[in-house]
Amino acid sequence: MQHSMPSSRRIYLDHSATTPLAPDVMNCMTHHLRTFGNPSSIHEFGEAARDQVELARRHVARLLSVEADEVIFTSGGSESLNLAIKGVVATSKHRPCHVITSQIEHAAVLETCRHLEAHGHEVTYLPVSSGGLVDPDAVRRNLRPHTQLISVMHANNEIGVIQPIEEIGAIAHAAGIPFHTDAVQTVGKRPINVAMLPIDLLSLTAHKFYGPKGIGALIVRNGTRIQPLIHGGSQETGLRAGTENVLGIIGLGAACELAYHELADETWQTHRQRLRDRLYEGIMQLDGVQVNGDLNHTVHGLLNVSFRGIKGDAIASALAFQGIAVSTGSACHASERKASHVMVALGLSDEWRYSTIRFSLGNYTTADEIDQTIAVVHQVVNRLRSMLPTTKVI
Amino acid sequence: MSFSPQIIEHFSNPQNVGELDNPDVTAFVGNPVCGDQIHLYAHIVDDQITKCTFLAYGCTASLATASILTSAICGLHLDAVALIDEAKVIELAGGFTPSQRHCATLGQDVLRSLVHNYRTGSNDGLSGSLQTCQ
Repeated sequence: MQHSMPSSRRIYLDHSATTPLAPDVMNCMTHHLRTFGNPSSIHEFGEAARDQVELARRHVARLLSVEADEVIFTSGGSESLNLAIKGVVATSKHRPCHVITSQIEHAAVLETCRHLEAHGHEVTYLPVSSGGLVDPDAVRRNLRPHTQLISVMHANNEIGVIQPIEEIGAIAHAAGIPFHTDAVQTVGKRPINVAMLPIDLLSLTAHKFYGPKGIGALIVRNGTRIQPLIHGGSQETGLRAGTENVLGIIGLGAACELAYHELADETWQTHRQRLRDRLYEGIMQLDGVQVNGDLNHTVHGLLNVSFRGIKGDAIASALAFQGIAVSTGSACHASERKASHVMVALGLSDEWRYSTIRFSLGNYTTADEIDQTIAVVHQVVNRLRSMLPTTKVI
Repeated sequence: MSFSPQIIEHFSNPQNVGELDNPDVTAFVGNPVCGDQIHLYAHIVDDQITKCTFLAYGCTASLATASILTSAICGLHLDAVALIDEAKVIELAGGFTPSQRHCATLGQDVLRSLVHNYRTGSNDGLSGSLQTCQ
């Protein structure tokens, strides 16, 4: 029996999950491997580390058009999201208080909100359209006298749909409510001018845009009332105790600096978009394929597709065995069949919701890689469909 | 998600795919929870399986299991097929992770159904019973 593994092909189309370190970022971090001082120390070792931390802070601030003192370093996206939501709710004089978010947020937001509910607070989870968009009017209609925070993601991690955060933030500000956005999937990938947007808090993480893992930031606009989650030190203006992850912060700063220059050159964005369109056209030549999320409102380089009659897990495995890395939103267990909460929110039927695949392209993805992927997807889908019972009951 | 070499092999190069013409027996088992299904078709001579094919819907491990079983039982006497239990399916598949374990039940059940159907002269068709894998 001929063995089809291992494949020498290695095509990475899972950049929404994480990205590799950019060479510039790696060089910068390698250069500072010996920068070991504690930034809080007064001697020259501490000062050297402190200088790098503050330089990185300025790089983050410049990328997002905020003040350096509005950048709070955290351990990543999940911590930033927790800090934003719990930290703002902790300042509320209302008991219970009310939070508005959407049904398609990342689990770190949804689980944090459920935690708040378990502690007596109220949360409204707004539905989305079949294209994946939150209706700003729904935000307005759900405001309550004790609404303390509105948190809606900038772009969804599964379908890439960009939410109307400018309108939602304006509604929040008109009501005197802070607005937080989870921008983990957009920072470094598209220009974000926070100074020009009605945003009070913004979460980001380095590893989604060619930085290291384990480091992120929460942007807290001056004047925003927030309490820390972690106590025990004055770091990060008292909002995040603990000796700084200096090397990680340096890496985040370098990734922001790189993104700042790349975003000034539209070639990078059009490159991803052009390849995404190429992938879309190639895949849509297959029968029984559906794109999930409104393609007119998605981040560049992301394509979420359902293949009728095939489990997403099977397609992802078949591609992985041929050296192509993608993600699937569903999981298979005997005791449960769990579809992605995003696909459920979009209203997808059983026929489509368990067969989703996310292709997420990066800056270094090539046209040849896309062409190879299209060919393998066609081969894999046809092979898996040839096994399908004609009397399938699902 | 990790897979045994057997699962990777049979998933990537499935054996015995398709319906048989004029099968002597068919069997169908489906898991109504996870949705996975295996349909078997077999030719049998003197209580011995001479050919077995499958169609299936499901996850990577389920599809591979169907292929593995059709290869494993070809040439076996029905008495030997009836003895293939979950542990044997796991052995044939080279092991399952906890989330793949339901495939052992699916595999065992579809083989038992095949033997039962042949001996009772019945076939699982469109109205074939869905069995719950636990």
